[in-house]
Amino acid sequence: MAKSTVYKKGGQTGVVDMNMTPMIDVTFQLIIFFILAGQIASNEIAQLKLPDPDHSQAIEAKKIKVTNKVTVNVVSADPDGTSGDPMKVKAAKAYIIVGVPIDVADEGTLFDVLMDRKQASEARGEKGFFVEIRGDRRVNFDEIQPILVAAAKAEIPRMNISALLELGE
Amino acid sequence: MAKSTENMANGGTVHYVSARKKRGRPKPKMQPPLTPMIDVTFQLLLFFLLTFTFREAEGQIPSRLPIGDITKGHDVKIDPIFVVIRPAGDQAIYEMSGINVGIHGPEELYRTLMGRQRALGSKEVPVVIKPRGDVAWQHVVEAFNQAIRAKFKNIGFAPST
Repeated sequence: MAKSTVYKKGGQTGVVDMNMTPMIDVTFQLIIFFILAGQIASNEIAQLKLPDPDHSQAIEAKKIKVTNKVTVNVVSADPDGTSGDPMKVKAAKAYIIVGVPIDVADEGTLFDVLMDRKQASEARGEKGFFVEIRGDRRVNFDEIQPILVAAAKAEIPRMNISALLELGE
Repeated sequence: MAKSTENMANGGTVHYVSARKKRGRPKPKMQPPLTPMIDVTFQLLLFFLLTFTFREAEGQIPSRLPIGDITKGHDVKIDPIFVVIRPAGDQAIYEMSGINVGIHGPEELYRTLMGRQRALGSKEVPVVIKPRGDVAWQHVVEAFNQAIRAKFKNIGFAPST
């Protein structure tokens, strides 16, 4: 039986064009999501595991309107726990202020930096200067205490402790 | 009279196109080139995918610091509530002045602090948190947080023991 030529006649060899519009729409949606949900890399904020207290009383940082502060990050010596040494996780690697590490044993430099920042703030005529402690939750209190001592010595009256917010807040 | 236009072919021959025929033709589409935009969009998407880290909801617990050398201690007019923290494995045990048994966990600490606050009838009583040096920062912040949750207004840290 002879094959029908209907399909042959009707068949076109035109270019198949993919509809790009939905793909571009989805791509833009993804970009907007990543921009909103992502964290902009900041010198002030080091990557660490913050304390997660039960019924956290922490207030969202944007609600504390004063930006006149110095943030001291206390980073664990073994942040990922890969060394297998629990003592290393509990030890602090350094105090990081605006991306600059200060040796944990160097309390003099820590005091000088806090004092400089406080004086610079006062020179600008700003009020309500405070020290923000962003400590890794696994680090021992012994490693945090020098910051409290240095801040009190530098006569900084306020201290904010960074912690995770209560879920659902 | 039906309108007609004339087109000149290459050889200079005049071709008349009737208005009806012209109306029947599809209008030429004007579309800017989308390819570069899609390229850039995908570059951006790839960048965000590779550098993305989820942001944890972070906040701050405000407090006040004593002025001067805190290691020397300060005169306190009212007898403070001391909360001593000592490590117990991965957890911590809280000991409160006037209570002989250890307090396990934040919820129990909160209830004990609330009970003390009600018994004293004042939120102004100082709460002094006294952690041992080898206690994890998590447990120190936990004690501080529970004292704030119990509405105490005067909370401080004592040098580690």
